[in-house]
Amino acid sequence: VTSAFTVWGRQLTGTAEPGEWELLTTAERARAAAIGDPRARSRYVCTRAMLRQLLAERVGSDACDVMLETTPHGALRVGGHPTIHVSVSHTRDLALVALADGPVGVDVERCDRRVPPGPHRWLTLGERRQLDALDADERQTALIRLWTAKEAVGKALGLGWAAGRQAIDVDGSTATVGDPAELAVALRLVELDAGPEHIAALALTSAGPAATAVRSFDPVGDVASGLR
Amino acid sequence: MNDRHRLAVIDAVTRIAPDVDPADIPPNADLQDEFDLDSMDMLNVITVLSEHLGLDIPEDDYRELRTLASAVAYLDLRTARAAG
Repeated sequence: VTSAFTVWGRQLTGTAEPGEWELLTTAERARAAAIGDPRARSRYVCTRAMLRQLLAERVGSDACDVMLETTPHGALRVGGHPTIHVSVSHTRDLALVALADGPVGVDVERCDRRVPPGPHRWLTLGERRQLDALDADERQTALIRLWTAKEAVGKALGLGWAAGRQAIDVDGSTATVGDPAELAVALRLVELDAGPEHIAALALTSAGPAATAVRSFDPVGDVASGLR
Repeated sequence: MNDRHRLAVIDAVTRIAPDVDPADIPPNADLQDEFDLDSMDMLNVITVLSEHLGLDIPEDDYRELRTLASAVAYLDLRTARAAG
């Protein structure tokens, strides 16, 4: 089974427009208003507005009428639309939203992000061996790739942190979760092209392509202009 | 609430997120949501915390560290267990 999916990205460098606030629910506006750091507040508003615009287009309703629910593990669900799967990730300057017709997880990091020094308890033995063969620069990039892949897998499983990163083994475009000798789940990893400054990964529980590009989302235009 | 643990958590959070006002961390707020920290920030917070306290924090326990209050309760419990 192949899952159809699309990933949209938008820059988060500016301030949220008043029109973007209007796309949020009353509860979301209250939450945004409570965020002390203005840049963090803008990131939240812009990301939510983008998510709501894309979902509104998909389900044919107004953006603020889309029912977004968060599970105890932090996964997003679209109320009344169990076949629409969604995942969101952002750095300080880029937000990604993935929509799919099956379980999906997306994660993005900046390339210059510093991964805390070891011991990398979140890596499996096999992943450590892959890293041992690399020089320092390659290693740093590979660590971010592994990190985003595991984050994406945790999100696709709807478990987030509870998935346990060491229980996820990443090998190329396949991630195996759990003990292969017992009950293991295999997920497909898709490399996302989110530009030269970011590393992004997408995880699917079904088949998918090896790589795909992120579509540029234009927050000031209508949703159709985000489908370039 | 053990004050040493409370200060250690506040120190770790403010070291990773220098914008955070140490006097203004609501005890029961989700740290990630409240301060827009992502999971790698949280890994950094936990790394700083575990080095500072000389405590090994297994990954399965990370979810206990989502709020200031739960993190302090977790550290109190770990220390009590080690002493007991």
